Amino acid sequence: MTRTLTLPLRLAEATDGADAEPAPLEERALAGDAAAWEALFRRYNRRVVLVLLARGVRADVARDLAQEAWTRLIEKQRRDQLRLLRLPALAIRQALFLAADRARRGDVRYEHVALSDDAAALLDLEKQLADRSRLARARAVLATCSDSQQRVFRAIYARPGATAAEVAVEVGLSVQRVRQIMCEVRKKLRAVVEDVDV
Amino acid sequence: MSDCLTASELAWYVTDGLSPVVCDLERADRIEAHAAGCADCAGALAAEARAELVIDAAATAEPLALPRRRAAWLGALAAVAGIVLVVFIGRAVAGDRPPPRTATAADSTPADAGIGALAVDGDILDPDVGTN
Repeated sequence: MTRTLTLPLRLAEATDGADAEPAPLEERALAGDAAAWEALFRRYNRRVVLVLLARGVRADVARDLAQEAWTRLIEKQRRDQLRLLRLPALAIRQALFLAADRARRGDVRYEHVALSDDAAALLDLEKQLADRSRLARARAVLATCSDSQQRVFRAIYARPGATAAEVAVEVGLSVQRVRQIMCEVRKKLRAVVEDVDV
Repeated sequence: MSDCLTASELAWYVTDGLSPVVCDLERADRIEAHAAGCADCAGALAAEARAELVIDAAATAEPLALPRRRAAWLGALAAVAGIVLVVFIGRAVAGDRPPPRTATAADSTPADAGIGALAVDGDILDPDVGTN
């Protein structure tokens, strides 16, 4: 069985301008372009869900909250309340806000919500520092991978939302080989970014 | 719990399981359902998500940094090799070139008298040329 992510809202048709130079997705989304919203959603939704998961939100709830966050953003755009669309940061902030709101109501377990503002800020700072160190280690490991491994890895991550099949066509390898490479590289990286709880 | 999530299942969930097109929906649902009821696996899933965010950042923060650095090194090496080659060829050509001949009376014709005169002028700069 397959699940294809689509935005929950029924959107207006894409705006005209097919022969014009294509504007960045964010600009088109701000103008109400449905296809742009769909593309942004497919590109960044995984990151939004990951942030929620990383903060201890239950997986199914995280997916729901992420969808709701996108819905809220689109509604704001329709009400002309969005002036700047910086993604995925804005979607992540919206999702965290929704998670915090639900946690206050007791619907969601959200590990940072109970902390005071100072403690939360300190925790975030420590987390950022730990992440920076892990990021450096991850990059160092990535540098030791073969050229083809790096090519596949970057092709996958540089295009959020791209499937292994699309990347396989792009890099000229079989889907199975792409999956195998991803598994190998991720295993190496996972070992060095082993979680350091703060 | 005996059927706790494996490392590969956790990895699959935060990569393929959250992609826009999930091919194995049953697997994703099973992982979510298990993590919802198992605190250990929920914690492991949160840790996997944190690791995935770091991996994601490592891959996307400087997408072309490594190839670019390697390309820069290769470019610098190629430039140095090119300079060395040009100097080498230049010296080789200069070394093979016969020294300017000293004009002799036999060579001289009224037409090239001017050229002979130039060669003779050159000898002034290099006193060895034309001598035995």
